[in-house]
Amino acid sequence: MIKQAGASVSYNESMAALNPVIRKWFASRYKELTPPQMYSFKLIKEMENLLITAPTGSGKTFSAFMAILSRLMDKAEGGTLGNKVYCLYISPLRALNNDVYKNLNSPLQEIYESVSPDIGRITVGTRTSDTPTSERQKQLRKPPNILVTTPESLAIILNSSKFIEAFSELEYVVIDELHELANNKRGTHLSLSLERLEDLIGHGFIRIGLGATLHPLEEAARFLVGSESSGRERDCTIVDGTWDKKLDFEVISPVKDIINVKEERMESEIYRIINSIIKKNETTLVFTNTRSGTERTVYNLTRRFKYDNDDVAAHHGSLSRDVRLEVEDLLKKGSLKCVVSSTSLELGVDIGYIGNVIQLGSPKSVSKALQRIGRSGHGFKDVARGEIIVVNRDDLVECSVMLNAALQHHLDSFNTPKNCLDVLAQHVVGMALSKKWEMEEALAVIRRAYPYKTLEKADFISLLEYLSGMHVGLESRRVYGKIWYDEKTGVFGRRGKYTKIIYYLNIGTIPDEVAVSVYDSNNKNIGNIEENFLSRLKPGDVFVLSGRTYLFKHAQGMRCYVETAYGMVPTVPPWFSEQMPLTYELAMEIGRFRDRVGMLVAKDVMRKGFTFAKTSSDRFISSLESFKALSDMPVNTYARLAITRYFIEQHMFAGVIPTNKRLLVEITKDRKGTKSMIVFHFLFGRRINDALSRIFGFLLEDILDTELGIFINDNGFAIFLDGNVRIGEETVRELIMRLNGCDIRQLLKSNIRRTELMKRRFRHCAVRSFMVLRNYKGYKISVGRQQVNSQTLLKAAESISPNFPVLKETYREILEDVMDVDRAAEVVKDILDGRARYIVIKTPSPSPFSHNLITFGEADVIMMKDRRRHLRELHKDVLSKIKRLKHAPL
Amino acid sequence: MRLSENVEIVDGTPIAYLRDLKALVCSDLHLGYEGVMAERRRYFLPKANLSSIKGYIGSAAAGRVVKELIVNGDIKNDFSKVHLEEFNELKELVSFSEGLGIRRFLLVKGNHDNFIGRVGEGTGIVIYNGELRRGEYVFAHGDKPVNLNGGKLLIIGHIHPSIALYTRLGAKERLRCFLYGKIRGGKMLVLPAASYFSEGFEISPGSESELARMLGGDVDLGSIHALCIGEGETLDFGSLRDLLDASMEE
Repeated sequence: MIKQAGASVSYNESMAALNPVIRKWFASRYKELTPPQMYSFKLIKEMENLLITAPTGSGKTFSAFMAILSRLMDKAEGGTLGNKVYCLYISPLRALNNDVYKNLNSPLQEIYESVSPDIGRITVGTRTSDTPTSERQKQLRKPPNILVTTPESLAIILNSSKFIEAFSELEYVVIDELHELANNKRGTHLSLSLERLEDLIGHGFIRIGLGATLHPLEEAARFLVGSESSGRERDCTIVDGTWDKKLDFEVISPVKDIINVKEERMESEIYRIINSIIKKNETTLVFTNTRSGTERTVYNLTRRFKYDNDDVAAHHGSLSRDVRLEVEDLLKKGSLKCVVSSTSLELGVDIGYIGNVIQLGSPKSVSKALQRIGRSGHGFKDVARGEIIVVNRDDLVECSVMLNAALQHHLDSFNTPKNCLDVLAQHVVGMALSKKWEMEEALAVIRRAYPYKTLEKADFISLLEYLSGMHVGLESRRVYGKIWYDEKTGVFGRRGKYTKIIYYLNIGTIPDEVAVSVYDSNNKNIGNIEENFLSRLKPGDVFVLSGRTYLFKHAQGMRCYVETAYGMVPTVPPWFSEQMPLTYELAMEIGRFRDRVGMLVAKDVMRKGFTFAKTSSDRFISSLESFKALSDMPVNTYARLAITRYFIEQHMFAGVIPTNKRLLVEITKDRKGTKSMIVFHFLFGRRINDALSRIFGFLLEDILDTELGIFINDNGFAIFLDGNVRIGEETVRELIMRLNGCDIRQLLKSNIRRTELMKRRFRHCAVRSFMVLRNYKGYKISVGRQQVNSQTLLKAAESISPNFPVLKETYREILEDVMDVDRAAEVVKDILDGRARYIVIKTPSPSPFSHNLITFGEADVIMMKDRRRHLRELHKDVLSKIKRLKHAPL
Repeated sequence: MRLSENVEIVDGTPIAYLRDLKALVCSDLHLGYEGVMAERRRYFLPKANLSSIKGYIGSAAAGRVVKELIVNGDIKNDFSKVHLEEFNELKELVSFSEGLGIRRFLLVKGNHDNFIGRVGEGTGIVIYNGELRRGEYVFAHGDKPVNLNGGKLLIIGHIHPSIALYTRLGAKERLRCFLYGKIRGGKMLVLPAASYFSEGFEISPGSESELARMLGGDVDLGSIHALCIGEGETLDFGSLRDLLDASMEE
């Protein structure tokens, strides 16, 4: 059963749960317990599975480890501490592992100074891809009592039978930063590793999960503990300390007029604000959403305010390990004034005291905002202080609502990918390497992991068939098969001498992308773009890279040359967004906000004496009800002014502020007037809009029989058509009518093949499923050199069966993880049932609320269903251009 | 699509038909590709190449008198040996073609066709090194310099030609194509790769291309037409120069 912890335990009672030596050491250091410790010492001693959530600085790690060290000290004193791993600690980050290693070793050092030398020593070891071979071999001979590792290294350990012996007395598994694992395939991978481990050692262990913000907690607990072979959910107690830290934060608009300001002015204001915050604090941590943004911020701060490298530093994943460690060290010493990071510092790596956090741009979810801002304030009693600086009006609304939700303790939920066949493929290969399995026996072990609880037997069998090469002739299986599988007896096992190496070298779930470096006219590297993206660029195209526009000149190998294109409108949209999607809950919250403020705006503009001309006056805006309603929000005055103006402009232009109950469909033309466009102001977050945009696109293609382009962001989506295609209100009505009786899931499944999304995701799944290898016989195969492109690979997989596991997983990943197909279906139902009304308007040019969407939205195309016709259209187009150019006819 | 009285491109396929020789010509089959990739890199490529090539040949033979199959090089894939998969597929292709009434199999050796000699004996394939001259035709793989030297039509493969096109909304399409046009002394036909797994290399009229290098000064690439494989039809997209100009136009 999953249950919340009852009343907290008193200091004395908690301390009584500890071994006397450990207790003495702890008491000499800490006079009081942090909130999670008030539960954990006793609960862990009572051998309960535990999920602890609490912000940084709340002693989470010790809340788990004090009780574990106690238990080990009991053993040491009793002379029963062997060369065995009793506790396994797993975190997603190697840097965190190094911290934990240090944070365990130095207390142990101190503890052992006060005990008799006869008492056995509790040992700690780390094992990651950084660990030298000599150290690994030493660990085999004398395993550490506490082993600190990563999910990937654990998966490798599982196939070392010698090392598995060291786990025979394993009692605890601690998983840190659970929030970074429970919502993705890396976590799914780990959940299977834990069940395999339990199966290999023949007994269970206590599971302790540590995390920052997670919601719903019950779901996270289920993910942590899984179930028994009988299907019964394992017990887990939840200690929720999410809101133990006080928060103080604000959304900042750097300038009064966010729209009509020059880029240079905006920038100088942003840096001026950052600098004033730096000056007020001992140490400031700045988060940007991209690595190049990090570099740019450091560059600007040092250039503008004469800081040097000892004052301001960058910290992100592309920097070398040594540089990162040095920065972390300077932070711990408190000698840096400011550090700028993309994501690398958002996890619990020890960085000492941070006075203030600044976030540039939207963090996209309440949890992320809390996690990042929560990095400030040292102890659990400190206040976490932070500012979010935003530069566009959608972000302004989004972040204001986000921080407001945080103040009201509203969190957005995470989503665990379920029944991923690609991740399972890796584990099945790993399982087959250890022994012969009965299919049913293996299935039972797999289903114990929460993400696989509902795995269908038929899917598992089809995966075994794929991995054993049953899709090719018998004589070819020798090279195709990674396992052997006897379908009559249902037994599977290892095949081929290279399989073990393939498993070791290709394990993992994070897809490789080919990065092409982008250089400006001064030959300065300004960032990376994906090879896929490059292949679409034509000389003269303008595209956005980390918030700036560049003009593409030419490419040479893996380098791409551009010129800065200040103020130019991008001609090529980003095809795949790296940004996290806005969560559904937050989108709904923003919808309610729009509704509330929209109603006030409607009243304001009806007031006597209201004219649009007056809205340029701050005083006039300040007198409006819609402005006053924002007074309780954590935003600065510029932001309040900008939000009010944004709403007024939309209302005056379109006559309506779209919400989730009052959907707006806007038929309009692009700026040049060459393309028609239907903008769906649907505020549901990108995962739902991803699904809806394709559903609407497929149906519209059916109606109009033409190629469509789509743009998607969190606030809506737009469908682009050639300007010659006639569309009107009746087109939209017909579209909505066709939604009637339409099976959303099926429609997406059978049409998603016509989009770019499918090709890209298929390659990721193919790599994860070992269909295409990243690494073979020790040679890394770069993605760029994978001769077979994903389109062809996809076509070939389809020739086997539509249920081929890699294909099936691609569909699942797109529908469930990339998109949120269930909620999209609910939206459709709401529209059809009239619970959500829609209004169709025609505008001469796009309304203010659509500007961000059509400038920075993520793009895709929907090819015509009839390929023959599509090619003929293309042919006709080219020939008519040639004719216009007055070249001789054929 | 008819190119001349005797030369026809079989619509929607990478195959040409030579009426006077009663022959089908194709190039760059890369048979055994999936098996080689499985062995060399442990890729799991579902088998699709042979059946797709059989489909092309089958439809090309339907309604035409065909006695010969000429493969313009790279019938197999592996450089270093003859892979078992290659041998099996080769045999299967020959017996399939025999079933269609094809009696003679001619291979102009390509750069992938190493160690093919022994296989040839087992399958009845006659192998030519360098070039093959029949009537007015000169067949060569296309990896080495070649000229017409008295022939009228040069037929080559090797470069896997394709062209890139952009739709009105910016989507990119890459289409495999034949290249057809004048060269010094006659005409040239470059065959697209028949392999399922090759989507082709983009051809531009620039002089730096492999094709221009191989033909020396014998060709003005800009004047060569791209004849693309469509769905059940072949579409003439105009000359490479016109195509380039059209793609520059907004």
